[in-house]
Amino acid sequence: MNRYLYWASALVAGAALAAVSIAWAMTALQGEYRSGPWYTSAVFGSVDADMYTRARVAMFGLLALDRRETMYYTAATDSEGNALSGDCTYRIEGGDLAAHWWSITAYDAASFLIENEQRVYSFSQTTTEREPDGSFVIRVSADPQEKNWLPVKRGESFDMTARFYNPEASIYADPSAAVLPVIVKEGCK
Amino acid sequence: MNRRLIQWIAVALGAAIVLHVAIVWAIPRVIMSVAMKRIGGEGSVNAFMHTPRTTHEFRAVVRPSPDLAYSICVLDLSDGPVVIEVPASDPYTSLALYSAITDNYFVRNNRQDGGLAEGETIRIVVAAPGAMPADVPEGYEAVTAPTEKGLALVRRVIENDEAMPRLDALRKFSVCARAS
Repeated sequence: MNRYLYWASALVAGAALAAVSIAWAMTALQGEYRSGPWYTSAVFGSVDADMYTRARVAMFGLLALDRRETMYYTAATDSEGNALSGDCTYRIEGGDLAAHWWSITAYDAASFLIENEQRVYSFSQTTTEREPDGSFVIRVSADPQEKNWLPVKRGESFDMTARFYNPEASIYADPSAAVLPVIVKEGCK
Repeated sequence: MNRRLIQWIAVALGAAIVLHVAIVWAIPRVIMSVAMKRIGGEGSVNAFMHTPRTTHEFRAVVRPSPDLAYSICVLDLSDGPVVIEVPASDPYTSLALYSAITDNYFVRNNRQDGGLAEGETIRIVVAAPGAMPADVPEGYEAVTAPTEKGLALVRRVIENDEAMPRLDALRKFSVCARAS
């Protein structure tokens, strides 16, 4: 075999190995804490971040704040562990998050807001209509819903981020113990 | 085992390790530099930009919050310190500084240290390492940046659709400018 080709093949194999190991490090090492379907990393944006955390933050949450300021929990599945799909209707049911202010936002697979006529991208502490007991139900669906309708696109996957602005100290001390809404699949088309 | 095969494996592994570390190291630097260019555009350095309410059309930074009114100042401290003044608004305002490698090295919100009333101002002077002036004015916090390039990002919670005009009127009084 040609000598150059022989060594070039070693470099190509090395590059492929680097690509695979980086992709693994960026995804497999994610989500250090979990509460139901909601995942968070407690090191977003902080200066203690290591090389891998910085790279992950740059790719998935650039310009994030540290955990005393804001905690971000993301869910890509419902409470039963099935991937969220724009073909289904989900009920997000819970109470106020333990923070000074909170919001829940839907994102498309590219991590951008999902286009819809109503220009509704999120529900927050101050925009969510409550039940008589103070709890809330938000419905995520491509089809119109009564009250608190968070629109998504049929045929496309999506995920949701819950933001705790100035979370209570108990939340950042023990992120797995945070109480977040359940995500229940009601039906699919 | 054949010696040439061992050498081949060594070269492949060596290349993999070097590339792995170099790429992971470069990811935040490249992405931050691209984001600063996308956000700042040409020429608007050390000046606040007040972005309109975020919609699906916004694609400069991933996972933007539609409930926040952002004000952004691309920082370049190579010609000297920069003064930042941010009037606070309820229920939540924060000023966060980011280095060229994405680290959030400073944050101040409207609720710390007894809290700021609506319209009261967060005041800081930001300088590159070793470039902090001796005469930082009273009422200004001195903040040393780890890198000359970076971003100042103000987040204000938009409580509901009616809140935006009030926030717009207030944030016009924000300052991001070379210290004179």
